[in-house]
Amino acid sequence: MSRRDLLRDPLLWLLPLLVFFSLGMKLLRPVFAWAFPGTVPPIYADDTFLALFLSHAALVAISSLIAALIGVGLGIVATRRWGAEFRPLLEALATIGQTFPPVAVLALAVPAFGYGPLPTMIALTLYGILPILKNTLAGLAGVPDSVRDAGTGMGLTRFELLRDVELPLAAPTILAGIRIAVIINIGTAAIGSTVGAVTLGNPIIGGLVTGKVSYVIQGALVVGLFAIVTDLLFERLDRRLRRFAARD
Amino acid sequence: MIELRGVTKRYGARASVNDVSFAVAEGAFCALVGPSGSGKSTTLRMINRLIEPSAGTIRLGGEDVATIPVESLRRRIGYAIQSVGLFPHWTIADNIATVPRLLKWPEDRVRARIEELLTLVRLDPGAVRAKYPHQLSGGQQQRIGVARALAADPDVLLMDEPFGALDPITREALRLELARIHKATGKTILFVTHDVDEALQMADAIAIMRDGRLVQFGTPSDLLTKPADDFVRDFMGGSALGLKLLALERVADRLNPETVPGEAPLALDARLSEALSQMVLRRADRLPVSDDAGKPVGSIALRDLVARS
Repeated sequence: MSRRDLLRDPLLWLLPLLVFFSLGMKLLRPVFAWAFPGTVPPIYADDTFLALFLSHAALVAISSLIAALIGVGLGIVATRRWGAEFRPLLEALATIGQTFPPVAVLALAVPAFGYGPLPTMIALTLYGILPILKNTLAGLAGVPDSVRDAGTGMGLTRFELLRDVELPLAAPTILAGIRIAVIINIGTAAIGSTVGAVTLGNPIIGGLVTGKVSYVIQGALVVGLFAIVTDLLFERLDRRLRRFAARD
Repeated sequence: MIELRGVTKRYGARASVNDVSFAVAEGAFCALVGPSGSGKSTTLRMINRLIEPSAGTIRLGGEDVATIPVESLRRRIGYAIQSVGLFPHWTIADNIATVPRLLKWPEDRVRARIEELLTLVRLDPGAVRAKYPHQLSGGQQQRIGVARALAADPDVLLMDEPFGALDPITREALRLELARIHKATGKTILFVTHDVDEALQMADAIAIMRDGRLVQFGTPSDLLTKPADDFVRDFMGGSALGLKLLALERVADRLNPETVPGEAPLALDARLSEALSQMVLRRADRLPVSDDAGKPVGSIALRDLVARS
């Protein structure tokens, strides 16, 4: 990577910016005090931004991880010969499910699981499964038949074929599904604050309710940076996974 | 080496392979030919059990393949297909090493084998070893496909129209390579093709299939001179049968020791069809023949081509 590319790579300044806002929001106190003189205290103070960020990130990470395990698992089952019957059902579920707005999933989780982090976690997990499942199915379907035929003909067991050939070839597509799920979950988790989860949505929701615009800005800054940085990290991972493809 | 007896594959009521029996001798090059849908690929794929037969037995070196665990059977048989099917995310070296690694060969032996095979298929190991399949041409990929099939030194090689997707020049080059590899390694090869000329050029035994049945099995000259029925005659070349017969023999087989003067002598290993073609082109009924060193060794005349030796 040349120096020019280094300067151009937005991750190199967005990541420090995210760290700065999470750890050092207090340093911006004079700025917010000057811009919003009526708001006391000028910086959201119910929780530190670091605590909010960590809680938010943990919620997204755990729900996305569970969603990835279930989504990829179901996708593998549906593409095995013995699980092929489930495939049309799962495909329909994944497609219809994704048109359902994530906020509605969250709203429905509350009567079922009550207030607190649990309904948010469950809603994020359920919603995250859909794009991951859909992309796992598409990725595995995209493995050329000739590659499967050659692999089987050479004596790879079904498990070896899955582990060494099908999953690595489907990996970029599966990763794209996980990326969608994680990015949606980062946004949806913020709304989880309305149902009692501790997230970066707390200052946003709190600020909206009490009319303190500066809190909304502070929360939105960190959530927005979090989503962008995560997306850029996924892009890096994606480039690494595709390194064997069309690059001479 | 490979023996099929009463092999049948039914899909519902339809038999796509029907009571096929033949045997391929050890070290032989056998071509399985027939029109599309004649069951030749299905027959091939039953040998390494990619398709399980509905009836009949297949023996490999005397052993019933149905009794061999399927993965270990396949690791003993080289398999090359038209679409090659190289793993796009693995380097050329890793692709070739697939079966040796499945067989848990020590890594230094695997590496030595990769070098050996790349040299055998006439690719420069240093140049292609670390490349990915998409960086090679179609012909080079098919060479890798052949190298990969040979990797674990199997006794038997199954090939399903391996050169079908290539342009005529690359195809011809690879046929010659395969003939050379066959001679050098002594493998038993069963080769599916719908191209009769390919079969005649390469095989020492040909099995002709039609509608799932084996119509005739024999040497190339058997099939040309004693076709079992009109279908075989038409399929083998109809009115061009005589020319195809000439293509089976070489100038050396009919050489006349009498030397004659003339330009551009024929080589000893030129096909008789080429000699005839040259006679027509040069409007001559006798052409000089010389050996590899260019020394005149005799001649060949039009009547030598017609006469039974």
